[in-house]
Amino acid sequence: MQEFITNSLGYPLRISALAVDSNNSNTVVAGTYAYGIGGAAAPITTSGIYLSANQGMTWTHCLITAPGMPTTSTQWISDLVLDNSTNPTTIYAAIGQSNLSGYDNPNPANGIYTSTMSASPPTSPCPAPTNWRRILKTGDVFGGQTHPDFGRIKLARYNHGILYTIIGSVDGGGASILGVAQTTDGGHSWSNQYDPSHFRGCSHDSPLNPPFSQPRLNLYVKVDPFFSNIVYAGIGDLYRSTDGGANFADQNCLYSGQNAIHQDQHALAFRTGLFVSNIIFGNDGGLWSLDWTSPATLTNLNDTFSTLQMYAGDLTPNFAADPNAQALGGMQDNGTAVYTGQYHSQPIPMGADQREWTGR
Amino acid sequence: MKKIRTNLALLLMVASLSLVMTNASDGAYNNNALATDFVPAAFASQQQPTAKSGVATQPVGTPAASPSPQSTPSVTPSPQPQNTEDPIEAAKQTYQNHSYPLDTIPVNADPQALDWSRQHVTDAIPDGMDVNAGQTRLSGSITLSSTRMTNLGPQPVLEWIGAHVSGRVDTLAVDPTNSAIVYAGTAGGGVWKTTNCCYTSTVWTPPNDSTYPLSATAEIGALVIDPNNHNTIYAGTGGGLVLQRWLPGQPRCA
Repeated sequence: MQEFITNSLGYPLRISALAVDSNNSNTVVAGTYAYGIGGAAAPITTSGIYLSANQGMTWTHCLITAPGMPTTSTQWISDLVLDNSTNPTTIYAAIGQSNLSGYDNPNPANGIYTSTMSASPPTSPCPAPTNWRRILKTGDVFGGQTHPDFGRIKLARYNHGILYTIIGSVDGGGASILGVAQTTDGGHSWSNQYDPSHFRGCSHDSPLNPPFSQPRLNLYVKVDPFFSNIVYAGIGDLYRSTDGGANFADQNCLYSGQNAIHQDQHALAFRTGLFVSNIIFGNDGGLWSLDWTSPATLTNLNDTFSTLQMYAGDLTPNFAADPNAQALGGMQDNGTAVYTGQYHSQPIPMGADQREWTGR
Repeated sequence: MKKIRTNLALLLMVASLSLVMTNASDGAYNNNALATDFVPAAFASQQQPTAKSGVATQPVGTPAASPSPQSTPSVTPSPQPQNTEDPIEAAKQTYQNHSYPLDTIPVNADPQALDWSRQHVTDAIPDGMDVNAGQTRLSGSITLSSTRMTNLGPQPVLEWIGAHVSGRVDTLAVDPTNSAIVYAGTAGGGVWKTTNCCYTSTVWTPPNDSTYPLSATAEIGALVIDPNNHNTIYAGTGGGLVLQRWLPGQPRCA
C-alpha cells in the first residue's frame, strides 16, 4: 500500500469523491472540500477538484472555470462522476456546499459542472479552462419551483447522456431535499424533475412531504447499471424508483413493522451478474444487502463488521479491580454500549448520538 | 510512508487488501515538561500547608539549601510517607513535605532542588499511575496485565431495531471481476474487505497493515477500484459528510 499527501495548505481537506479514468488508468480524480479556520469558509485555493496523471503520486488543483459562475466562491465538491464513453473522458462535478457554520446562505457556486478531461494529462493535467460548462445552478427552476437554496448535490451516471441528480436544500435544519432530476442529453436539459412529494413512505397511501432526509449528512442517488429507470435514493431511508424517478417507494416498507434497516443512508453498491443480483447499502448502522430474487431478502451483514464509532467513553471507578465494573461507550447514532462482562447495547436515553458519557 | 500532515490523504491499496485492525497503544506515557508550578492536579485540591512533625521546613526555592542530585542534602529531609499502604497518600505527603510552607513547589525554584523534589515525588507514585491527566504525566510505562484487560470491541451491538448494527459506512466498492469481493469505507475503522459477500455468513476483515495505521483508523470518504486493474483501490480520507457545527438552540439529531 502507498500513501499520498496531496495538500499541505493547513486546511482540513476532505475527500468526498474519487474516480479513475477507464480510458487512462493513470488519471485519478478526487473531489474535495475543506472547512476554514474559525468557522469561516476555506479559501478557494483549497477545496475543489484535484487531478493526478500518475496514479496519485502527484496532484494538481484544478479550478472549475465555467462562464457565469462566481469566481470567488469556494469550490466545495460534493460528488463527481466520469463518462468514459467519450475520449477524452467527460467529467461531471457537483459543487454542493451545505450549510457552513450555521448560516443558511447557499454557496452561489453550488451547481453541476461538466468538462472534457485534458487530452494530455501528463503535461496539462487540468481540463482546459474554456471547456467547463455549468449545467445546473442554484436558483434554477427545479421540480416546477425556483430554488435559490441548492445545498449538497449527488450524481449518478447511467450511460453517455443519462444522469441523475439529487439535491438537498441549505436550510439550517437540513431536513429536506429539493428533489431528483434526470437528464438524457448530458445535462443540456433536465427533465423529470420531481419534488419530495414523490417520495412515498411505508403507508403507500399518502406522500410524505418532505421525507426525512438530512441531506447535509445522508444523500445519494444511484442508478441500476442495466435499467436506467431503476433509481435508488438514499436519504433518511432507502428509496427505490422503477419509473425513472417519478415515484420513490420507501424500501423499509418491504419489512414493514420490522424496521430492519437502520436510518441515515450513505452508500450503495451493486453486485452484478447477468443483472443486478443484489444491492449492498451502508448507513449509520453498518451494512445490509437486498437480494432481488423472489422473494426479496434482506440480509444483515454486520455480524463480523466491528466498526462502531465511539464518540466518548468512560469507566466506572476502580474498573480494574471491581468485579461489577462497567465500561460505557457513546456511539455515533447507535446509542450507548455498556460493557458489563457481556457486551450489549443499552436503551437510548438522549437520542441516537451519544457524545458525552461518564461512568462516575 | 510519509507522515500525515493534513486530513487529505489517499491510500492506494495494491493487490489483496488483507485488513486487520491494529492495536497501536503502547501503554507508555510521555514525560511532558512542566510549564507551571510543579503540582500534580490530583494533589492540588487537597493540599493543606500544615507543618509535619519530624520534617524540616526548608523551602525548595532556597538556593543555599539546594541539594545535589548526586549527594544527600543535609538540610533537606528525605520524604517520610505516613501511610505506606496508600501510595497516593505517600506521594501527597512527599509533595507537601517538599513544598512546605507553600502550597505548591514554585516553578522558579532552584532547578536542582526542583529536580530532586520531583524525583522523590515521582518515586513515591507507582509506575504508570496517572495522577495528573490534565497537566503532568509521569514517566515510565504501564504494564497491563493480560488477565485483567478484555478486548471490548467495538463489536456489533444488538440495537432497538432488532438487528446487529455496526458503525457508519460512507462508501462501498464492489470488485468488477468478482462481486463477492466488496470493500467498505467506514467512519472510524478504515477500509474493510469481504470475499464472500453477501450472506449471513459474510465475514469482514479489517486492515492489518501496521505500517500504515491510517488504513485502520481513518474516516474513509471515498473508495474507487481501478476499472482496468481490480487490484488497485484508492481510498480517500476525511469523510464524505458535511459535518454540522452545533449551535445553541438547534436540535441535535444524527
